Amino acid sequence: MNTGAATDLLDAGELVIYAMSHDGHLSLALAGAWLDPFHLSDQDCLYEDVLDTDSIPIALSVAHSHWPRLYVEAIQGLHSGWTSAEFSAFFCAQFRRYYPDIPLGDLGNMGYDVPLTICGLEPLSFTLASEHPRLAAALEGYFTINQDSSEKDFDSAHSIAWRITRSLIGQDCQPYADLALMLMYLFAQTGNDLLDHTIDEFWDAGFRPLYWERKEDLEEAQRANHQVSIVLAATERALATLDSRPDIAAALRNNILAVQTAIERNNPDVSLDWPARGRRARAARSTKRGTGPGVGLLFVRDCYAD
Amino acid sequence: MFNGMTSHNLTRILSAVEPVDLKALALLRQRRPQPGRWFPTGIATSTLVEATHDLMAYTQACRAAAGRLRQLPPIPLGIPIEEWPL
Repeated sequence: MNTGAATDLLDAGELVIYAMSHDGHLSLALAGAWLDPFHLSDQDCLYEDVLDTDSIPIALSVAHSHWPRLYVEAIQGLHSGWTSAEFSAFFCAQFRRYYPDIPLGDLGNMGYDVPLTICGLEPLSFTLASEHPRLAAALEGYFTINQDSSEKDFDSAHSIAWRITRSLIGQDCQPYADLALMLMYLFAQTGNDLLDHTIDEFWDAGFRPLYWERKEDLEEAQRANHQVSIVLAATERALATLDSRPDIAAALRNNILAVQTAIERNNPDVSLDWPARGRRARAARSTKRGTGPGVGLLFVRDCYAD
Repeated sequence: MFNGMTSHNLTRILSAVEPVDLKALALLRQRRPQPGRWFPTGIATSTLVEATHDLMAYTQACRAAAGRLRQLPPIPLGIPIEEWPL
């Protein structure tokens, strides 16, 4: 049996590649297809027709623009035969290393704007008790605010909470930094629009969406989302403190009453007492990573202390 | 800056551009792909990142050059076109 023809056919691919890699123009085309196939695609069309279908081109576009190493690894993975699911898992894992607080769980989300953790509260809504029962209980327990309260009641509580918050910030230690962040979150006073607005309010306010292809947008989303993580973690700790430290819970009640009385008497100066500090918690060096008590304290110092 | 350019001069200038020694091309020449594959494998990621960066920069430079060429004012061809009188 003559197998010469079949052998020649099997060798053809190798011969073609050999010839291409030794030709000036063809080797350039081969190199482009090997290392940078993305530049051959029409980047203007990336965001059209990819919703619900295939977000890999968008992911490659973002990697191509911002992270050469991730781009190279992703391209080599695709060359080696990765499935969409394998690509998605790899890309999302790598993306989280750069931007741990941008919730990208699936590549399908990349057909939309950069995800933001918008989680503002509606203290006078009947949904607060079902969605955030502990926060609703804190609002009612300390400020007598619930779904039946009026806007005026809430405004009065808001003024009281602001004075209490200033006093807590002035303590410059934990757990008071956590309590300050919890009050700012409850009364939409953080200054972070993701924490101070509900989803509807946020988009109605006209904030522009953040885009994947703009690195400054990704940085902004990471910064804002990370602040949300810090405040939500601090809020959880503050609620636990109020449960476990009756002396601090009593001090909060007394101080709210003191501020309320001072406001009624039109007296701007009121001295607020807090239980003596224990061992002084050390502030973290940076608020960029982590959400622990040290990070919460540094965050309050950096953003809210005068 | 391109005033007075002729098509011959432009061709001569473009022909005189030295070929760029791209790392990707060197890798393609040095590393034969395994049978059945189009591209070489088993190359360190750092080397590939370097080669890709190099290729991207070259692509950008070519795009920029093509953009500048598109901005050139019309250049007289200097080639007789026999069909013109027709």
